[in-house]
Amino acid sequence: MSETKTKDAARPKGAGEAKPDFVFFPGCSLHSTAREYHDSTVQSMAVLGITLEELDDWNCCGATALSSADSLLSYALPARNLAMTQERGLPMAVACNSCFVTLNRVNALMETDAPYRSKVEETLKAIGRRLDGPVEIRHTLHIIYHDVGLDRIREKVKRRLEGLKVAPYYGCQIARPRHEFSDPEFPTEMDDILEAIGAEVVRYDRKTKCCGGALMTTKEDVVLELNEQLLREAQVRGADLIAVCCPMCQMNLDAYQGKINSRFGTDYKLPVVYFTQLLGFALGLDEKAMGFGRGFVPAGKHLKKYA
Amino acid sequence: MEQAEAKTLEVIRQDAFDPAKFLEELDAFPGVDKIKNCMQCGVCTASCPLSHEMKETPRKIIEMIRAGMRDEVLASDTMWYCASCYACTVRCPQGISMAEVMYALRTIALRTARNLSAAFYKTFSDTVRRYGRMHESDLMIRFALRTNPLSLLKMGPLGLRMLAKGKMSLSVPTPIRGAKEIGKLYEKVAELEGGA
Repeated sequence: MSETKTKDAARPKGAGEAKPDFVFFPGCSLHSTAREYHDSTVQSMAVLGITLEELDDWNCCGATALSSADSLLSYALPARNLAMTQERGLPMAVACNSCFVTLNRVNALMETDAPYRSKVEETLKAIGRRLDGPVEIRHTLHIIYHDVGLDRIREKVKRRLEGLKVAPYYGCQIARPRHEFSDPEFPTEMDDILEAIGAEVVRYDRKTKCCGGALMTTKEDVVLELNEQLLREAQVRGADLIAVCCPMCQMNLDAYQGKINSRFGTDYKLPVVYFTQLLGFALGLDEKAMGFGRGFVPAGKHLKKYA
Repeated sequence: MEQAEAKTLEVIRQDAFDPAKFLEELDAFPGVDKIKNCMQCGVCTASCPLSHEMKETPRKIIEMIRAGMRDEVLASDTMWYCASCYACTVRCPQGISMAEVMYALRTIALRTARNLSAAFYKTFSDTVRRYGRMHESDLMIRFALRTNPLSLLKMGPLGLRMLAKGKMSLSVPTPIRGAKEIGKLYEKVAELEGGA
């Protein structure tokens, strides 16, 4: 804790360096399997005038695995991150749906369950930290939609992705269980952002149907089925590619597409990219820097004509 | 017939059979306090993307909980199929967070369960304790060694492609600076829960 504080004290105040807008909680996936989500998020938000500062020495939020393994720990782990965010005095931005739901779960507890809350506070005390009420936690998709806004995005677009057909897939843990997005089952924020950069958004009824998440490890057969259904609808609707906002969804739909094809006798070749990759590309950022090459199903041929 | 009735009565008379007991046990978990309000409409089951795989559907599980069928509920496969998508939760007309109920059931079942799911969640927790963060390759290798070492061969092809794409790394994970804090959190939690 003292380390963070020294750093803050050493930061030149008002001397050219503006205070960032958000503390950024990347989560484990954005540092490993989903680095392209990390880079495209940070870079396109910078172009749009939003600065993110990575939370210093953050820890794993625990995801649904900890919620399934140890209740108190599943609150204590994300609570450390929230406590450090509070120390920094900024709202938190999160790009991973799983982290988003897990961190928000602590907020919900802070608002409702007083006896359990004090238990969580006791664990924080053991590491010399404290959490004083809920922390403002925002999904980066929400920030781009509300704080930046569609007009500003349209103004900044350098490459309009005219004619690119995109299926907007939100996944489940972004709009549920809390209701910050336009609808818990049929949100439209990503649709609107994709349209603002010129893309054609296809109808996608399964936009918040679950991909199975981490159950891919423990219940692979049924989860492959869920993902086959998601790919099928995107294909039927004529999508060139699927845009996502969660590393779990991306991994399941992309890395397992080959397995799905051999299991179900299908021939899907649907690239699965983060909406921020498309956004950054449309804002004029380098195709390579947006990490399109990191997907298993190549997206390149759909982007060639805009480069 | 008479014999069966006598047996039922005997079960009811036993102190062990107290439907409220299991509800109380679950009540200790935040967010699962509304189970009593369930009116068995089945919206949870209808909303669940995986209920067709479950032997006991979410609606049925709620009723079994209220009937105090602790052993049967904990032996069911229902909670291990929950993907935490919260579709049931946002649709429940009685405000029950089924997803939280499933977390609670898993947590209780995990103490004794010997299945693949339990092993996965435990391994995940161990990895976080060790490094403060998740490391896919570390998690998957330890998980395989814990369950079925031969499955490493099956995971091989995807693992290699992940390595090639830079989505996975075989380098030894570095713990976060606050790894000691994480260790202390685990200890404190164990201490607090040990008393319960």
